[in-house]
Amino acid sequence: MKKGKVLVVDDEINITQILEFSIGSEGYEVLTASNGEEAIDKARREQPDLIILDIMMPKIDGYEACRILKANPITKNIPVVLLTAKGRDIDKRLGYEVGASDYIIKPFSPNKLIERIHELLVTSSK
Amino acid sequence: MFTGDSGEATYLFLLLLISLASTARIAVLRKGKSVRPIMAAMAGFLVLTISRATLVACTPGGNPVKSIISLIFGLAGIYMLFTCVAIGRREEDYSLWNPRFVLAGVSTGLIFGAVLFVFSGERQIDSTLFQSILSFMIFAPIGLWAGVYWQREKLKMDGTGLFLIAAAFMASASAMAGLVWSGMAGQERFWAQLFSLLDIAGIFLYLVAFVFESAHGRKSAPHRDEPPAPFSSTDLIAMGGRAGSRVVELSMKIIGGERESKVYDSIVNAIEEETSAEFVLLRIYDKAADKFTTAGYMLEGKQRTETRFQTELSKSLLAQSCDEKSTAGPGFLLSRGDLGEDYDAFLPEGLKWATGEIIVVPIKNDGLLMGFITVGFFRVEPRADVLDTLQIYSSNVIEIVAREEMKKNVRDSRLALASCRAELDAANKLKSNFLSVVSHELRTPLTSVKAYNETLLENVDTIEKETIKNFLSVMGEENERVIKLVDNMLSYSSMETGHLNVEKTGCNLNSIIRASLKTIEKELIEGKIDTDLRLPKKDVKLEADPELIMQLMNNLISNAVKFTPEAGKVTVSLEEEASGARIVVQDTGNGIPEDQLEKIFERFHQVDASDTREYGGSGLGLAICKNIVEWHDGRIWVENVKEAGARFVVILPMKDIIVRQASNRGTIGSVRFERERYLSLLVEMISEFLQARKASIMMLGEDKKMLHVIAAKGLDPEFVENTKIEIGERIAGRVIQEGESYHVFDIERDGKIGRVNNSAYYGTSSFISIPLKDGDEVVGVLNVSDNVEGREFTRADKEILEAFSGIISRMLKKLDAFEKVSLNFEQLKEAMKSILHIREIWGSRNLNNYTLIALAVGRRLGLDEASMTALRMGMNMYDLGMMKIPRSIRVKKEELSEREWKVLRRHPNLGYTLLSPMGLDERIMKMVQSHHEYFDGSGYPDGLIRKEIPVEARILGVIDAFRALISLGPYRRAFTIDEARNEIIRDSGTKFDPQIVGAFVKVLHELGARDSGGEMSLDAVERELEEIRKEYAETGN
Repeated sequence: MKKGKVLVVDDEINITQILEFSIGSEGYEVLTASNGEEAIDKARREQPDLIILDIMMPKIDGYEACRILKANPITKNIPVVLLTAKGRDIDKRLGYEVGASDYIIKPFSPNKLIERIHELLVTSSK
Repeated sequence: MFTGDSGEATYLFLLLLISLASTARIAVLRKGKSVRPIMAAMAGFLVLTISRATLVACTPGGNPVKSIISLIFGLAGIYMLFTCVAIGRREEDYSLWNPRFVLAGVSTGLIFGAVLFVFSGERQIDSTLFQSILSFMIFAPIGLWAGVYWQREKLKMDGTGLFLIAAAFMASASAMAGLVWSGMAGQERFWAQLFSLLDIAGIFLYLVAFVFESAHGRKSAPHRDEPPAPFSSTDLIAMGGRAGSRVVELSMKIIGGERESKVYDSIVNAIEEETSAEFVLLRIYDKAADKFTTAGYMLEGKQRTETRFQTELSKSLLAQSCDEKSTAGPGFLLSRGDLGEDYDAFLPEGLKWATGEIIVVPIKNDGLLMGFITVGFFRVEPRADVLDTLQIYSSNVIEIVAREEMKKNVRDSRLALASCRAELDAANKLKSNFLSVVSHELRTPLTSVKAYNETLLENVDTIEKETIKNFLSVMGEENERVIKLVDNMLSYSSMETGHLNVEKTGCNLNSIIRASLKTIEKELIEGKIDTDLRLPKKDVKLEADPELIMQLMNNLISNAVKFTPEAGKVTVSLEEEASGARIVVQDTGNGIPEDQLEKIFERFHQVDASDTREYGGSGLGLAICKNIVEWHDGRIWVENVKEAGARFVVILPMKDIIVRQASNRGTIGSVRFERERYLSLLVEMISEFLQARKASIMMLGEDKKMLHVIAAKGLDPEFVENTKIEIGERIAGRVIQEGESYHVFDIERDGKIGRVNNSAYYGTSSFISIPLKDGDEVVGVLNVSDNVEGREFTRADKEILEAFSGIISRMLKKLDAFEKVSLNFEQLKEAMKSILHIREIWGSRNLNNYTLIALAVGRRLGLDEASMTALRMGMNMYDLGMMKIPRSIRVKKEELSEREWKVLRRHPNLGYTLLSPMGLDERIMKMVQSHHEYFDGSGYPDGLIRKEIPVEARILGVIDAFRALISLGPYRRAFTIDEARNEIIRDSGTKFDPQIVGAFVKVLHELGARDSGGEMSLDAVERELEEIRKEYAETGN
């Protein structure tokens, strides 16, 4: 039995590949998307339990994608973790403002990311 | 019973007298602006005529026919009056056969003839009356006519006015005699006599008023023989009069900071009151625009603003007028006759200068012309010291101009500071932009490395071998990315600081391009991108740094790949040209926004810098490319290909140009390599212009005995390094010794020069060697040989070279100075690069064709040799300013806005500025500056008219229009040659000089007629131009 469904969104294929591997090996089902548009589409259709979202992506950026997700009743309860190279305080604040549950700065530790995923999924399922 | 025969005749006669007096008066009032007296005279005349006609009609037994005739006379008189008014007010044609004058004379004669007829029909003509009429008939028209005619000669009242007055008196006197006689002899003529007496009284009053006014209202020219001494402040105080105190008052205002325009108004006002002039005009010389602008203008007691001038007064015209027309001293009188057509330049449009002089006082400060004051149309004869008065006020003008200049300087330095700050801000922004871009670009690969590394460590026991391999290779790739980025940053920084080590060796461009493509093979396969490689069969080799060229190609190709969508295509082509190699890298992406075409070579610039940008990159790649190309003295630019993406073009010059190291010169600051780069540009330019494979500059050494090659193209390096030629030895030595040019068409046929001496240097049969002179001293030799097409050098070539030699001598001299102070060096280099660049964009062959047409036109017009040389050189550089116009405006598809037009119209002046450090011949500079002037004065930048535009620029105007018409415009299709020719013919006389258009059309025709064997037939022209057109269509240029 899978623990839950995680949607990983990043335009760098290397990042989605490693996250797919490491999150997948923890027993989660992992879906991937390479831009904001695709992410919103998949989130609606697949109803993941959690979304890991990059910010700097073509078409729709992470902030905008998060805002759209949070505005839609179908997807608004899915926790979003922003995973980004944008490390300034103001970027972070903006991230929480658009409704992100957590903000992790690249380069990141996959282990710590997985810990956060565990925590968030436990909180949201309670 | 009053039959009114003699009385009526007399009366009519008197009416005519009045009309004549009015005429004379109007003529004397000459400027014709005083409408009131004319109106009064006309009204009086009309009333008298009507009252008389009524009287006759009402008188029992009065003859109605006569009354009608009397009315007709009256109307004829009115017409005559109008004619005279017209003469006084509007006429500019003072020839005796001006139809209006003829009409005036004829109508006068007719009227008197009619009087005589009516009169003699009734009764026997009384001899005295007849005589008086006859005398009047003879004198009146002659007086009128002659008076007007004299006015044409000299607009001076002295002779003419007196004559007119005398004529009027004589006429009235003889009329009175006749009247008195017939009145005395009459029987029952109470009414007639009463009317007649009243008339006589009226005429007398009229004449008295006229004479009175003539004596007082007339101006006499304020001549003066001695120039006045300059004024001192004590003089001003001593003058004590109104003018003196007013000037002081104005000075106080100027010091007190009163607004410029207000001060000018006050000055003009003061002059108007002081001189009783109805017309006062103050114009200030605007240095920046090189023309006069109106600062103050009063007409008939009112401040005016509308001062358009039909002819814009040029500084030289004013100076010329000052010198030649000045009667004395600082001011001068101008009459219409003196100035001919130029008089339009002194009076605003619409204000006609019918008669009389105006006084022009130039305002000079320390010998510098600052403006001028014009006064005219005096209400009261001006005092003899009018010139003094004007000169005093001009001191006020000098003060205010000086004040404004100072204010402007302060403003300018404030602006300079502001722009300096803006630059700093921009640099700062660039820096933070760089930091964020680079940190992102570094973070991305580092993120992957860290994530993969940690995952691997964590799962090393459980993970499959295949996956480990995959992960490690990802880490390797990402590591490469970091290295590449750091490499780019390092090489960019070393280029910027000038620490780049350029090692030029023989480079094979074919193999470099192939190798470069190989390095990104993987990216190509991943992106499913097709490549089209077009290399010439023969390897293209040139002197360059192979590593840098490799880096250049890598950057260009990966840039193209980055912007090409999946299943797109990247085309790389290489071509060898006469003077260099052309590398083109073209993608099938979305192209580059027009406004960014020039910016993308700036460091850290990214077309899309938002969070949603699709393409990463540090923004350094293209900046590096530009640097590399520039270090090789090449040129790089980018253009959009219609619906097909972007095309990067690189031109690398064939580095067969060798510049000898200057051993005894130290390296000073940033000009370390500048001298060499500059000399090689110089040699390249010479070889380009003359289409010569070999070109060299030789200079005398310090000892003034030996010639050394200091820069050369196409020569063996060893020869360049080791050759020393003694004065008198070989051709170069002889050129030095004799100070004369050698021009050999074919060395085999030339008896003067043996083949023996020269085989080492002169590979071909035709060459030119000319001396480089510093003043009278010969300091070096300039040589060209080996025409690219293998033809002989012509006389025209020699002239071009001679034109260059002056420039080169000056430049070489400057070069030493520049090396010391590194001043203006960039400008000089930029000018030369632009010249080469524009040739590149237009294609030298096309340019040569247009030059041929221009020269043929010049020859037809019989231009002298200097003009022909200027034309030939000017054709190669006239549009240089265009390079300075933002591309977004240059190639804009839509109609340009007013502001954009304004920017575009600056290009002739920009070109002029760009070229000015080269110290070219004035004719060439004028061509550059004036090639958009139109024949009718509607062109820009100066609105020159007709012959004011130099003939070379007028020719250029036609050729440039032709070129523009047959090439594809931003918002229209290309014309055929016929259409273009017809278009130009249509604009003949307005935009273009008809004479030049004529010659141009004939030249085109000739080119067509000379079909076979000739250099160019119309078909050939058409074919050539067709090709140009295609090229233009492709690049959208």
